[in-house]
Amino acid sequence: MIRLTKGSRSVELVAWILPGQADWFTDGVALTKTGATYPLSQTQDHFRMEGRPMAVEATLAEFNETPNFAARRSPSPRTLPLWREVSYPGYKWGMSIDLNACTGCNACVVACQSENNIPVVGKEQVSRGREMHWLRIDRYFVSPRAHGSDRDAEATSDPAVAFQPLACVQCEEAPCENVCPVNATVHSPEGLNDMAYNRCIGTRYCANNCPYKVRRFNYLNWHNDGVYQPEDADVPETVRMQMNPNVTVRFRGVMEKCTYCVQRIQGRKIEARRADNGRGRHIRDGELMTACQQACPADAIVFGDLNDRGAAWRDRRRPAALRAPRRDRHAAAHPYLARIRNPNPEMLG
Amino acid sequence: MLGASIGYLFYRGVGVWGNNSPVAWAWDITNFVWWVGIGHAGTLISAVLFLFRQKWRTSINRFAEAMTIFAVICALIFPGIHVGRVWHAYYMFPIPNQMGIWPNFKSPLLWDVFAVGTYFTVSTLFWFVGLIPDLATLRDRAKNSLRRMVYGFLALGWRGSNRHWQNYERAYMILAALSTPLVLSVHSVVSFDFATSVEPGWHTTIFPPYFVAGAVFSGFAMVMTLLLIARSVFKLTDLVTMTHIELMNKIMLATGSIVGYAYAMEFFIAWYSGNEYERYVFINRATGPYAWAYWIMISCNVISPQLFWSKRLRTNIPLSFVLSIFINIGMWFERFVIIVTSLHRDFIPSSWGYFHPTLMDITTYMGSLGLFFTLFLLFIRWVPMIAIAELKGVLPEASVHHDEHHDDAHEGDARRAALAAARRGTEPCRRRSPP
Repeated sequence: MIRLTKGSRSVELVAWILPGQADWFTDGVALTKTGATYPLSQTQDHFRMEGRPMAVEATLAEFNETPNFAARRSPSPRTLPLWREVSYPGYKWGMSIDLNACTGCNACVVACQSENNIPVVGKEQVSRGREMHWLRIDRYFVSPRAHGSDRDAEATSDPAVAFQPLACVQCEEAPCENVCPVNATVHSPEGLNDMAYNRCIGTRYCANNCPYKVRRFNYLNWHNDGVYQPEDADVPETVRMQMNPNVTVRFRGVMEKCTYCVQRIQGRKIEARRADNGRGRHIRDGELMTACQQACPADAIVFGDLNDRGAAWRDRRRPAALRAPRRDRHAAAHPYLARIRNPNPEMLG
Repeated sequence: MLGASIGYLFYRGVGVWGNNSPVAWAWDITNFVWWVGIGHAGTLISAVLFLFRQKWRTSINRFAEAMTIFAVICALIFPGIHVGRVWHAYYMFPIPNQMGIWPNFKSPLLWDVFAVGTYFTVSTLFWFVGLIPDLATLRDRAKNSLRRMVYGFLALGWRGSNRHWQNYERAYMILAALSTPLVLSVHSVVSFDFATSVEPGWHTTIFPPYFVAGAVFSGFAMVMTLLLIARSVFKLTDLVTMTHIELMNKIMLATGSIVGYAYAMEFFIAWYSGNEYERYVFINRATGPYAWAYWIMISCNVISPQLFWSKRLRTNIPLSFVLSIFINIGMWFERFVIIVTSLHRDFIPSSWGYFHPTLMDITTYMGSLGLFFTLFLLFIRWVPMIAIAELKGVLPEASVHHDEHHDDAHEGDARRAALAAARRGTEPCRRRSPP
């Protein structure tokens, strides 16, 4: 903790030193360490990629030299499939996230939280590592001056930040599906990795086996433990309307994770089936938006039917397409567009 | 304490423990694997050593089998209570239901249900069958009618006839043969929970043999702990001799060294695989935030049993007792290290976390220890802790050659007399002796 003093006034604050923090503050204010500490709850404790191909990026010069740098740094899987490969003749949903556009503003996280009735667990539970966000924004500090994978390793006094929104990537041959003893998480005919809340008994094996650690467990009854009861008379109308009626409110003891906003998909499918005077048609590209996509001010998130060869499908054909961060066959539905920086060499100093 | 902890757990949810994301399994599964491991020595001593005609096992087998059963009971509690919705835990069993949903047979957790369930059933049967002649002895010596009724019911009408003995011996042999593969299968299957996952630090082919060795190791350590207490309290020095203690210490030395070798191999393979995640997990184990747990494990499991190379030390009773406690601690930490250190830092660095146990973690674990010792004391109170009938079989008097140096001509008479005695009452005939 620190104390800021200006004249006769002073205030005690919590300070957390992060890479690249300026060592000056402002004139006329004295800053002293009080020596006390205060526990801060944060959702991420580690800010280096440890040389792993997560949010891979390159400079413009590097990109011009090797346009497929992302595929090189994050190679395709070499493992063979465990089961017979499944084809998805109808819809096959996919999402792509452009890391060039993402500014880490967290609007998608908030949108997801309100769309999907995701509980807010409070700082005590966050400090225990039980935040419930289905979609999170990972933040890594990188060095804009280094090259290739050294970019991550070089922690400098002047780091840049790489953001990577990460939600369930709807793996093919999902590791979570294989290990669930009760078949509570299974693949849908549209390529989604579905959760059957009613079937889930909460062994948490799926979360352990999730390479992305995007599965969230209701350790307590978040919605009713010490929180308001919707039927209480003094709860304002707006708060009573907090929940999205199209999404199940999960009880304690079940696992949950990103569904690609399956309630929106189903809703739009029903509309499309009734369209054209009841003759029905496929959902068109761009007709369907997930909550995170809708909220993103930079249009970094694209979602659609991969069979339809829309924007999400086109993204994965681009040279900078980056597989979701892990070298295996899981993440075909969910690519990223690797970030390409064009830093002004003078500003780098 | 166990009841209160579990009651509170059921009332509030798994969140009363310290488990989080990424560490979704922690003390719960650590305790489970630890207890199952302890439950191994019983069947090993009883079944495998029986099949190999290791008669020295006779004075400790009852003890070890009882310990097995109680340890497996403690173990079975944890997978039952660690699930988020305990009232639906029966979904794991293949019960026909109106939804037409089977459990997922691909899931190692389901294999676990079957493996541990089978092991528990067979161990209990094995223990009970071994008890029948002794229960009959207790029935015959019961001082009041209630005891006579209860023991009489449990003795299943045992009269000690030759046919009874014949059937008994055969049943015991069959059960021993059935349990022997189970000794290997149970902990192999438990290790599949980890080995078949994609988690670095879990996904290892060495796990099945390494878990079985570790289980035998911890099981013998627990038998040693209990036996040394019972030996001094009940003055069993003539029945549980120094030879027994020494042999058990030798087994612990052997299995401890196997486990040590496995630890070393895990590191070698992590390096040799070239897999960066696997490498990181092992470097992190030895030097990361959980290094303290790792080094407790190494010192208790690998270094301390090496003292048993010395005959003087392995026949030293206080030292054996202390080391057996060390091994129990070390094996608990082995499970903890495998589960928690692998989970807390896996693929994506942004999700890395740390696990802090809560008070409820501790009370649940202590409660399971309490349950174990309660069951064990009840066992000592109500059931013969040394197999009476079997022990008679290894007494010098039971040998056909016992009195032949007196008068060879009377050998046939002696056999006939013994057979007659066996037919009359509960005295065992000469078993496992060449005619």
